[in-house]
This record gives sequence, structure tokens and C-alpha cells, in this order.
Amino acid sequence: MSSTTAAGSKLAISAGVPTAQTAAAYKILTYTTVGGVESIGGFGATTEVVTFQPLDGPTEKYKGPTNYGQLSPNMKVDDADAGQALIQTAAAPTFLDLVAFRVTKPDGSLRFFQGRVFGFPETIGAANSIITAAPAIEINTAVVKDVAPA
Amino acid sequence: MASKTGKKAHYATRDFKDAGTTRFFERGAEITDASDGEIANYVVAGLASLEQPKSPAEAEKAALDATLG
Repeated sequence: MSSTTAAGSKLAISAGVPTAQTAAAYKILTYTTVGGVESIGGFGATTEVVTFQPLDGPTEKYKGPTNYGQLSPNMKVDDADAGQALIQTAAAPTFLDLVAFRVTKPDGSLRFFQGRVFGFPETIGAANSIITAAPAIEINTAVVKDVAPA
Repeated sequence: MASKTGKKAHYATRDFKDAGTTRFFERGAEITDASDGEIANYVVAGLASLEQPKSPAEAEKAALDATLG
């Protein structure tokens, strides 16, 4: 995909999780689109840098544990939206299951991953702003990529 | 009540809309023409149930009856 704006991107959630970490397994699931999303934000794994400083040499750097990262999409709060309702359910402290997410890019390429939702904090700003929420999604799997349809 | 497809009917527990399908469901209405997966997501989200919700008047009466005995 060449460079593009984010316009047309979508976020969707499924209460079910795939049986394998493959695009095909993720595609079998049924997703509910999250409405009112303003931005999806960054996501992806990072690996911790572990350093060792020898007495007589430069700092050595090693790869430590991998963190699959977080996602904190910004959205206008809409209690009637099914996708947001599912995120809010998953954000409950008593909801311990993983849920699956699908990000659709403007060219149709897809990103899949599983995570848990740790909160649905709302922001009430100035009178001339929309009430928004930025759910705290912690990603527990690698991001599976699926190319855009030809 | 079973639908024509033989599946158990699910009802909207409150008014809600699906941004993906652009469909709107009114509280108490049977959810039709939705896939099993869509309904499963609605159920987990607390938006759909096998039990048809009472109307606000019925719910109020039931609450009063329960209180007054």
C-alpha cells in the first residue's frame, strides 16, 4: 500500500477469539464495528532493551521480553452503539476473557489481534467539545496482518 | 419463540444500533436477519436476550407489585 490518510479506517470487536493465530482463523469470526471512532492510534509489539555495561567496552544491548502493546482509540461516547457497548462490557473488572479486534485500513488490508479491555474512561471537556472515551486495550497477541484484496 | 429459521428468537434489551450493518434495533423488538455471530456479540454486550424485556409500564408495575406484595 502506498502512503494514505487514515480516512476510512475502521475498528471492530468480536466477543469470540480465533482457534489459531492466523488471518484465516480471525476472518471466521463475526465482528461488530465500533461507531464514532475519531482515531485508532498506534499499536504493535515492542521488545525491551536489556543492557549490559562491561567495565572496558561499549554498552551491549540484548533483546528482552516482548510486549504486544496497547491500543487506546478515541471515540465519541455513544451508549446506543453496539461496538462501544461490547467494549464497555469487556472493560468490566469481572470480564476476564480475551476479545478479538480487527482494524481495517482504507485499502482493505486488515490487522487482527486479541486483548483485554482495562477501562473505558470518558473525557468531558469544554462546552464546545464532544464527550469522548479512550478505552484502555492491552494487546496479548502478535498482530496478524492480512493484505488488501486484489 | 422460535424464528422461521428454527433459531431461538433474541430480543433487543434496549435501543441500539450497529455501525457496521447500519441497523437499528428498538428495545423489545425481535432481532431478525442477523447472523449467529452478530447476535453472539450483542448478547455478550448485554444488548440482546432470549427473554423479551418488559415494557417500561410493565416493568414499573412489576416493581411496584414486588414492593407492595
